[in-house]
Amino acid sequence: MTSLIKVGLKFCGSCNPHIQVGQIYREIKEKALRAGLDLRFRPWDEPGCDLLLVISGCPADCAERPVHTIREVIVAGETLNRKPCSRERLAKETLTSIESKL
Amino acid sequence: MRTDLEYIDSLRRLNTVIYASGEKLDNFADHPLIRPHINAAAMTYKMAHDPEFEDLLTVKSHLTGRKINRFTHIHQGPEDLVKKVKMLRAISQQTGSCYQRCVGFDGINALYSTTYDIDQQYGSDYHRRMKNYVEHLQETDNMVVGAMTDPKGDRGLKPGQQDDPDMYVHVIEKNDEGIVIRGAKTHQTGAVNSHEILIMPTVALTEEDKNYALACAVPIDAPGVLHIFGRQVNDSRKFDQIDQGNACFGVVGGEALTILEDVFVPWERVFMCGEYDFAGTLVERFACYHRQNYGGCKGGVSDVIVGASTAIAKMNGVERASHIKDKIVEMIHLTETVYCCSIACSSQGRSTPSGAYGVDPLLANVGKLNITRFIYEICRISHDIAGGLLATLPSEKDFKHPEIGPYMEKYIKGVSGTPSEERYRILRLLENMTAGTALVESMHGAGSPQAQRVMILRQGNLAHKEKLARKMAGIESESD
Ligand SMILES: Cc1cc2nc3c(=O)[nH]c(=O)nc-3n(C[C@H](O)[C@H](O)[C@H](O)COP(=O)(O)OP(=O)(O)OC[C@H]3O[C@@H](n4cnc5c(N)ncnc54)[C@H](O)[C@@H]3O)c2cc1C
Repeated sequence: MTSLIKVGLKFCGSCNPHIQVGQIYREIKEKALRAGLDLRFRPWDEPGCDLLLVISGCPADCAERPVHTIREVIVAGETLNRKPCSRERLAKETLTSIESKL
Repeated sequence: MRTDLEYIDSLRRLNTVIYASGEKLDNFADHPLIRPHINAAAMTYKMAHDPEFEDLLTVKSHLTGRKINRFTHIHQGPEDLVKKVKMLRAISQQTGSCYQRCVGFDGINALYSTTYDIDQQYGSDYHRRMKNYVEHLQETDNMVVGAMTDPKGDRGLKPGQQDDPDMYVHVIEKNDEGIVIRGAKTHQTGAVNSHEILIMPTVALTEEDKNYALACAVPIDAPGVLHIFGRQVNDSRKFDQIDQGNACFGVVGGEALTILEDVFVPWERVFMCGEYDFAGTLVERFACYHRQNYGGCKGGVSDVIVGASTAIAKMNGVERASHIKDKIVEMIHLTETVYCCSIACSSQGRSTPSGAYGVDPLLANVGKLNITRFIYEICRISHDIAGGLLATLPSEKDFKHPEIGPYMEKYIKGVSGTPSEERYRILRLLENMTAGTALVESMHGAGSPQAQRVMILRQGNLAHKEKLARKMAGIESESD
């Protein structure tokens, strides 16, 4: 079991989403739990986060967030960190990306 | 920021005078005619606290630096205008009906920049008052009715020419403390479940009508204010469950005729009083903000209609037919077209001398004019796909009846595997969202089509276009 990791979480607001952001979030959480990764999701503006996870409904990724203050993982529609990623792989790959950035 | 429950609770503490169907309502917050509209408005409070939506529903106040509900914000740039449209679409997807808060939101934005301009010309004190008022709204998170439309009597006559001077709201007395106003405002969206009324003139005015050049804010339950709640098509369905279609959120905004019978307004809440030469500017700014909205809110409502049409096509076993697919594509195309207009007029937003941003007027008016047609077309296609049961379905009481209920179960069924009740519910939802009152809102809300055409002609820069043609035809040279 790794040590506790504080992940700031930011959603875009989902005006015209390509993916269900809440569902993606739940999948990531569930997979992290199964992988024994102790991720603590916190409000995006809470101080002391190790990483910022942005989940936007489409690639426009218009969610506001602090610029380059901490490491970011960005899910935006069917993309991960600006690269295409299919819906089925999105949660798993996101988790991998989170781990790689820690 | 208030929560949804705090909002509903706050309504119970008001002394709002409301009549509906000939009755004075005691506990309006729980009355079946009104409650669905309260639930819809409550969504604007609830979603502001939901991490999934807060990016759209909240913003930092330019006045205090505090996090506020976006419905109390003054737009500080094109990004704010774009976020407004996205927010409206996101909320509509949750309610499937009007949540009413945009009108007051547009009113404060229109008045913010207009009061600044009036002060520049006349050295008045309106903008300071307006800023205080906005700060008060941001602090309380109060819901405000945007009260523009007057009864207007004979549309061919100006306010002062009417037989009855009260056909437009006007000042009947001024004193050291404030003013006294009289008249009425019609079609007031969300009036019965708001906290305050923001009164604005409804037309451009001339000097002889300067008593009608009036903008001010009054509490919804101020002495002299009363509301007569509007009837809607099928509103007795609000006393049923399934037959309502959208049992939680109702249809349109729940409009009222608001009577203002000698209502006192302290000077601190008066934002225009006699400056007739700014009435047209205010109306136009308000109209543009309000027309900006429709691709957002109706876009979201249409998303639900497209979803319901897809569902009923599957329940009827026709979803693979090419003409049905084509019709669904057409509905999406129309939905995204109206959304495009709202996004476009926002991204082309421009600054005003007050620092607040306004939308591109031409694109906003084009967007709203599209609404007066495209929403009807979307609804027409949904009727085509749904079939005639949309108009002939018996009542839910028959559906639940011990003797005839089984017939309904048997004959309302579509494809096997889908319970009859699901088909019944989707049909009722479509009926609620696409027929009757909902359609009229798309036509007249934010102004009748002709009002948009007038603005489009004015903004269309015909001289420039004619010049282009003359040059290309060799009639004029580059230097002409
Ligand atoms: C569901 C709904 C919600 C609304 N919510 C609000 C609200 O919250 N706040 C608010 O202030 N208003 C609200 N409105 C009012 C809306 O802005 C008006 O309905 C709209 O401006 C048209 O005014 P009217 O209804 O008086 O119709 P009319 O002005 O009578 O228009 C009817 C027809 O007459 C034409 N016409 C009118 N005057 C003239 C003229 N002088 N010359 C030639 N033709 C003319 C129009 O172009 C139109 O074709 C709402 C309306 C609806 C339907």
